[in-house]
Amino acid sequence: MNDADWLAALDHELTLRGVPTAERAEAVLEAETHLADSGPGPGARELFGPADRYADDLARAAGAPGRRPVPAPAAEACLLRADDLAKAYRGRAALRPTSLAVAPGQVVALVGPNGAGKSTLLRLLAGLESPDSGTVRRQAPAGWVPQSGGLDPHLRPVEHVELFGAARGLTRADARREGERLARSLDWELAGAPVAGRLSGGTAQKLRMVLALVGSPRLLLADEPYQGLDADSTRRFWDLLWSVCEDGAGAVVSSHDPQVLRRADTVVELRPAVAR
Amino acid sequence: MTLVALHARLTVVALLRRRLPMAVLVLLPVALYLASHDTVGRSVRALVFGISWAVSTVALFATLAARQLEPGLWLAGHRRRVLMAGRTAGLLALALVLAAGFWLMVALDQPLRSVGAVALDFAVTAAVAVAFGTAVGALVTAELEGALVLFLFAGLQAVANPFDAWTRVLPFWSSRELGTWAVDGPSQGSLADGSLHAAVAVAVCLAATAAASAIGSRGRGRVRSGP
Repeated sequence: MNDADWLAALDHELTLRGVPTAERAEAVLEAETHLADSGPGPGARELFGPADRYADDLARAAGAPGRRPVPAPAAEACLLRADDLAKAYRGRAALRPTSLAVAPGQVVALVGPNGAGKSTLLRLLAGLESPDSGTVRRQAPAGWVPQSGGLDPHLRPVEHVELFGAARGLTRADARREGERLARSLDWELAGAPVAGRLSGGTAQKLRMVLALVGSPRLLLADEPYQGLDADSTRRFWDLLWSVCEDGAGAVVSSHDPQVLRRADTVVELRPAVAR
Repeated sequence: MTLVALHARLTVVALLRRRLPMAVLVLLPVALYLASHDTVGRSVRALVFGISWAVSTVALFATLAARQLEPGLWLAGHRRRVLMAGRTAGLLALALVLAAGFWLMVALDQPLRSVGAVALDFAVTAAVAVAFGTAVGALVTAELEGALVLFLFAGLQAVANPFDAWTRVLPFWSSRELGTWAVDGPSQGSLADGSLHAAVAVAVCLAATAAASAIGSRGRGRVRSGP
């Protein structure tokens, strides 16, 4: 991440922590000035550390309220509601009974170690598997970001976008336009990209995100969505996620990255159902 | 463009980009044809056998490849039957074009009793192969297992005595019967028996595919709409 990106990330993180505009601009300007005074030596990250941690310190010092508050969802307002979902494979419990709800504008993080059932829970929420017990209620079709797969290695990204856009009622031209806009927000150019099988791991992940979001679904289900992404792309992913949530969408994002705790409105912690 | 047509087009596009499998798809029947070139009957039957094996293998691989993409498409709002119809239409179109090419080759190369009858045999074989490969792809989970199942049926078809009654359970019995009818005439093979067998084989394969799809969509059925 270069200095400009780091400063943009700092600005974004301060916004999320409710630091007022004037103080935010002042903090960014101060960091920029300090960087200029330091000359061509160490970069912003070396001087200040990760942008989100530095933003934490600044927000605390400014007495800011922290991450934007999102009220707890009322039952009738939920985009997704799951009650006591549980799943076992061949007698081995994969997910202990778990409940969650997602309101418009809300990001719910699923955290927990490997084997805790994050992917299982997401597949149950998506309806890709049946729970052994419990219920799922979902208001609308969802965007789905799998950990891997989810693409045809012999189709180009624009062709994927046409397919997914068509499912949500977009014409080919509209789907391409929206796909290109989403890809650009992830710092990627969709047009001219080779078939999915030739994309790098990080770029394939960007394509999965674009496909999940094209056509503006009201709900996003994402399983470790930023695996393979660099720090800048991860920040852009969160920027994009928050922007769609600010437009009324909701999201469930799984991760074993503790940083997600600072980025989500609600955290659902899962524990392995059986000794590993 | 309708959703089915879009899926059909992209199914064909994705398959045509798999150049090596597509080359094998063309070369395998031609190789079998050339290896049996001494008599019309043998060469036509060998070609039909090659078409059935090659097309069903491509249909199998296309069906298994679709498993990667389709969960996201279901969640986005595509219906499973639309996805299946589009994929099947694309595969069928490709198979019929190939069958037409092979038919042209044979029509120019061999003194056929009836070019129309051979065309019917090739077209029916292509249709049954698409249905059979799709059904196997819906029922198995991996390419190796699927390829072995196809190999089993193809092997049985190749070595079994076609006059044994049990061979009617093989999906491509109709291809041989129609081939015999086309090459040797109605006294040797039956158009009605071959057509009926092909219709039943396609129906059974479609039912198996639909059943596998229904089992796969049980999870979706457990997700209720509304708050």
